Amino acid sequence: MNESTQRDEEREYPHWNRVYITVIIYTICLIIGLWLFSRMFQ
Amino acid sequence: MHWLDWAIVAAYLIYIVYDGLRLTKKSNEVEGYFLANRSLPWWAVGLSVIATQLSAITLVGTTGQAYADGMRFIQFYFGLPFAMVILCMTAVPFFYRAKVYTAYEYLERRFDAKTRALTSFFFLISRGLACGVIVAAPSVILSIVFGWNELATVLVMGLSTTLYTMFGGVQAVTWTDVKQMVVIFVGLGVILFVIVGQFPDSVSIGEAVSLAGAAGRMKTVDASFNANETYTLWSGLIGGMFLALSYFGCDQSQVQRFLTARSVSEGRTSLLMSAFVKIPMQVLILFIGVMVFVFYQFVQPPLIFKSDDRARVEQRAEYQRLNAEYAQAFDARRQAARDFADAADQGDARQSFIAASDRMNDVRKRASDLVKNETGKPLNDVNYVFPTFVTTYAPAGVIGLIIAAIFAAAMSSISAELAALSTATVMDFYRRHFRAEAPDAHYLMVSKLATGFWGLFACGVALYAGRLGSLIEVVNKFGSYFYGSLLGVFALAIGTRRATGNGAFFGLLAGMVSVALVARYSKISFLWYNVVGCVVVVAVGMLLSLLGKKSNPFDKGH
Repeated sequence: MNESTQRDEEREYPHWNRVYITVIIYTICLIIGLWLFSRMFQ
Repeated sequence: MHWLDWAIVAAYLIYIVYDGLRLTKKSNEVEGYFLANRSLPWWAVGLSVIATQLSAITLVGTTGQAYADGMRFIQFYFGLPFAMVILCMTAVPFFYRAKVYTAYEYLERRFDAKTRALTSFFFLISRGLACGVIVAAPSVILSIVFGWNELATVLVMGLSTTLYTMFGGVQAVTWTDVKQMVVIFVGLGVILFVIVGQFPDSVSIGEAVSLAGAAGRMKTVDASFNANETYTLWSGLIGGMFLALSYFGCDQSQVQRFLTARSVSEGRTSLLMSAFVKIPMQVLILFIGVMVFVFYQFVQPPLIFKSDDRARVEQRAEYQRLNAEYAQAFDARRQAARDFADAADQGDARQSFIAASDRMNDVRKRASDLVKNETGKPLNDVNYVFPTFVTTYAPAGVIGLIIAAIFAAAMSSISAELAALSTATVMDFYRRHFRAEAPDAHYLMVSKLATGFWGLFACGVALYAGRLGSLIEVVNKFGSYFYGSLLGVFALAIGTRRATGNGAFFGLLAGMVSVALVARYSKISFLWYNVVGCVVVVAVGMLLSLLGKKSNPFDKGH
């Protein structure tokens, strides 16, 4: 892949870091949610 | 089995093979055969990633695990989304832009030919044998539960998958994976509906979950720091993350998935799909196992689920006495469960229910000891819980759907493994070391032959593994020795410019030996093996690289 194609691709979506942070926050919320759910029924 | 069930299983098999074979015309060149011309949409690749990881034994074993041990197993997946983020930032753009066919090809560009050959060789050995185990495990279970011929089950599952993978290539693998995921999700949804529908009228879903919670089946998070405990928050977050990094970032069967995507962005999105879907999907599978557990609070479960082990002891007086005691204990527990579900103040009812459950568990433990004395092996019947429930209590049609889902889970994993094994064989060995220049048609023919060879090899291993249970353990152990160490090699390749080929090569060997020693002489959970392997490879690899450079001032590095 040449450099200009790479640059086009990077330009395609410049906010990957926001997506990664969303995934991390989502996972932490999911783990906390599961923990709270299991505590309710123990 | 009812004719409707046979018809559903037959329709599934015929459709999947037809669907795979009709993609043959799109795989008439090597890049199309191995990488689908890098043309697949993210959602198809994402479903294929999930389908590849979800084998039949995951489907059947996880429900059984939840029945026996509750939902603690979910912690195993907690590190996966974090690993996906790291891979999206590193491995996906590295491999995709390097235009490689295999992950190991990248190691030659970064280090040398021997590091590529060694890692690819270990991959072929471990995944070739593991592919046999993926065929064997559901075949053994289905043959015991349904009384099917094991050879026929292995051949139907293994050869039909080999057929469409051999001719359709990775296009067939991915698009059949998509359909197989649909079959699996429909099967899971229907069976959950069937289980809950068979609860007594007086027991609601909320009461069912309370019962499961009282029996300790709803615990999802264990925050204790105990390296010997397999499933804790920390082993899942750290060990699970290293395992996911190794599997999704270094195993060709997974790397090949995102290399088929249209672009780096679509490759990333396909992996992030797993980050969003995997934990909820595993919660659903585990919850089904927990609901089977609740169902068996009101209907007596078998004392031993594994029918061939049961057959070996059921004529003995000791077993018959235990069975009678089990029936009495069950009656008491069923009453306690009803009282618990009906009670306004659940405190006392809860204690009675727990005590009644303990009595049943005690009888079952004594029955397990009886089997162990008879067979010489500890009883492990968790994989038989879900299939036994399905065959005994699911209506006609649903049994066929669940068998189709089990087949789908197995075949989606087998096809991806076969495609990856074929790619590594042809690209890392045949084209690299035996015939560097040849027409595309020649490589395509060799690739198809390689897929066929690995399919037959997997079937052969499956028939052997079915007779020797310990082989499965050996294969799994070898994989766990290899994965973390392989991750260490890729960490050296991507993470530092100072590492050399010799450092990576001998670091890999040191990592594998270290994990073998840790496994032999300590009791730490296998989830930590990947951390140990990776750390040792990076440490030894860097040390050797620095020492090597000092002794060779002309080494220009990479």
